[in-house]
Amino acid sequence: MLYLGLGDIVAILSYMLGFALIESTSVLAILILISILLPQNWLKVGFAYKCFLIILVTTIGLILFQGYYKIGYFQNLINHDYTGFTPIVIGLIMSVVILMGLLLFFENRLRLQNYMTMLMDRFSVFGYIYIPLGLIGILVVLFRNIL
Amino acid sequence: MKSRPHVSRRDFLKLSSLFPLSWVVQPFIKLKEPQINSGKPNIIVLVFDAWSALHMPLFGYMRNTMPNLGRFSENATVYHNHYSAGTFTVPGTASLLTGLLPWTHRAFQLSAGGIFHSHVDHQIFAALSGVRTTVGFAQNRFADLLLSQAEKYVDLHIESNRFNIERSLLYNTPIFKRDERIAYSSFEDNIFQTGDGADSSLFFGPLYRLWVLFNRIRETREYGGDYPTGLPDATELYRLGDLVDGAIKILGGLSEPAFAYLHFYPPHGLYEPTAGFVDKFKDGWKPPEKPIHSLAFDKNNADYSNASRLLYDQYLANWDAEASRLFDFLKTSGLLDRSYIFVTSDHGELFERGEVGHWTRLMFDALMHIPLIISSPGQKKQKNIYSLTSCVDLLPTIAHVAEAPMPAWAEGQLLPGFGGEEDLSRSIFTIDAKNNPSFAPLTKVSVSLTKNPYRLTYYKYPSYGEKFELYNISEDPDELTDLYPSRPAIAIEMQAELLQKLFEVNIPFKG
Repeated sequence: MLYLGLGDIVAILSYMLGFALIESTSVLAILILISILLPQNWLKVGFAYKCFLIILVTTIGLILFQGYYKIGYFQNLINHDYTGFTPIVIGLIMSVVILMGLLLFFENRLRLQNYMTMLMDRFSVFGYIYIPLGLIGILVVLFRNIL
Repeated sequence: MKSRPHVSRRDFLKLSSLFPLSWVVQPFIKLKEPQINSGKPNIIVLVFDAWSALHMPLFGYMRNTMPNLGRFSENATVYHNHYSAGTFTVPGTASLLTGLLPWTHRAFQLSAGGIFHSHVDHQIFAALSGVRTTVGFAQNRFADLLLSQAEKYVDLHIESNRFNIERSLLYNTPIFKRDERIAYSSFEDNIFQTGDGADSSLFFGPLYRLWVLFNRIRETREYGGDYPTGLPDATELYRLGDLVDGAIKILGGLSEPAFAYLHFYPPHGLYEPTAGFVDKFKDGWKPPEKPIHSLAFDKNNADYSNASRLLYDQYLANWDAEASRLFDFLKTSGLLDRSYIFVTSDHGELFERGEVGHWTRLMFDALMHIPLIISSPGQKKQKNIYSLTSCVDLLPTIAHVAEAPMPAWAEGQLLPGFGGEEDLSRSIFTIDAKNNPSFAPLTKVSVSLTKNPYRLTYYKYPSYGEKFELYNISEDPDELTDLYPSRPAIAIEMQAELLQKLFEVNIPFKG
């Protein structure tokens, strides 16, 4: 950031916050849609803690394996270079197994589910900062490009 | 009785749906409506990216890489010792556009930071605004960001991917047209990473990459038949022929008198020649082997460097064959007779001392020595200039031939042959500070001072220390014998000049 002015940095931050809000809302919308489509017991009942676990495992998995889904990596696969193939498959299988394990572990443990809900309540306080900042970010982006 | 034509509310609503279309087609209409010259010459700058003079037969190369450009140069002024001020696109192009050295305009990093705020209005487009219709196209996205900084002075700014097959860069979408530079920095550097590094978008990032990949597979299948090693890639895939067609369309639609800056990505790597060129130059020739430099990022061996050089030469020949259509068009359309045409580059390319390409801290001739060929209206014979010139000389020269006021800010001189004198004692600086913050004194830097017949290069990096190298580029053009220890008198004199200059440019940034 040593090569950008303060205005540029604030503008870039606005793009990032605005985009993050849109991304988070989209992910939530997809989960809601899935919960509507699937049988009630699968996701709708206990929606909050189940989605929390899904997001948690997916996020950790994506962070750990970010280096493997680069365009170059996929292009290597097309060129029949499978050296990076094993870690991503192992990562994918592990993520699914861990997620299933966690969901089963939490299923009949009401106290754990309550703890999870309490934790989420505490986290939700960040929404009071994050959502307005995201909205301001979107407004800044709109202002810079359209208005 | 005849009824009057009636436009119903429904008709009006139908027609009003076409209003957004008029906004979309506006740039195309601008291109399609050429206006005829008012007597003043056009100025057309054609920049071929990463194009080293040392790979052209015109400057002594043994492979006939560019016969068509050679023919073009027969009726033009050829500068045999022309140098870029930077070693990659951002500083090289910024210097060409501003007439300022990188330590002044401060665009010396691979980022969207661009030219310093205080120099944003110090650009060729600003100098010619109101004097010529200004048109800017840069296929290289980093050069395009510099054009977007000059947006208010560019009458027609054609987006960098207009002639690409692939359209994947989000900052180039019409919605971000007014804020390209920041949108670029946000999306390409932060939200999604087109290169190395982590995406901040964890969920959309992988989806975006998959979408890009599937598009690339489809486009390569559909359009890549003639490219055995893959389609050329300027972050987005393209074909050389489409690029030339696009350039012809731009030049054919100029509102004259015009200033047009067209920055083409080839012969920048990846070097992807078409089938007709992949077997060219398999002559077994090897240039003199040079030792791996201790400051080289890569430590490629000579075989790899020579194989890459061969590929570059093949690609260069391929680009020359395609670009010949552009030169033919300039001739047949009459533009050649009513325009100054500048053909040059932003920086060179290196295939030695462990490095391949131009992402390096090293400073050797192949990386800085670039072609400059200028065709004047109606010129019928070749003129050769051998004195040292710099890319910062283009701006004052262009202003001079355009009869525009001479920009007071420019650090260059008028080129010999266009109002300037041959200055045999001139000092030419090339600077690389890609690892140095823009707002700080230059402490991580490579600086080269070329002064006939010597070149002194200064390397200064915290983990490397300081080092000077001195070469006699007239007697030792391959820069194999470091004269720094054996010619102390010359070394001390040039060292004092270089360090004094560095001291002066660092003063405003010292806390």
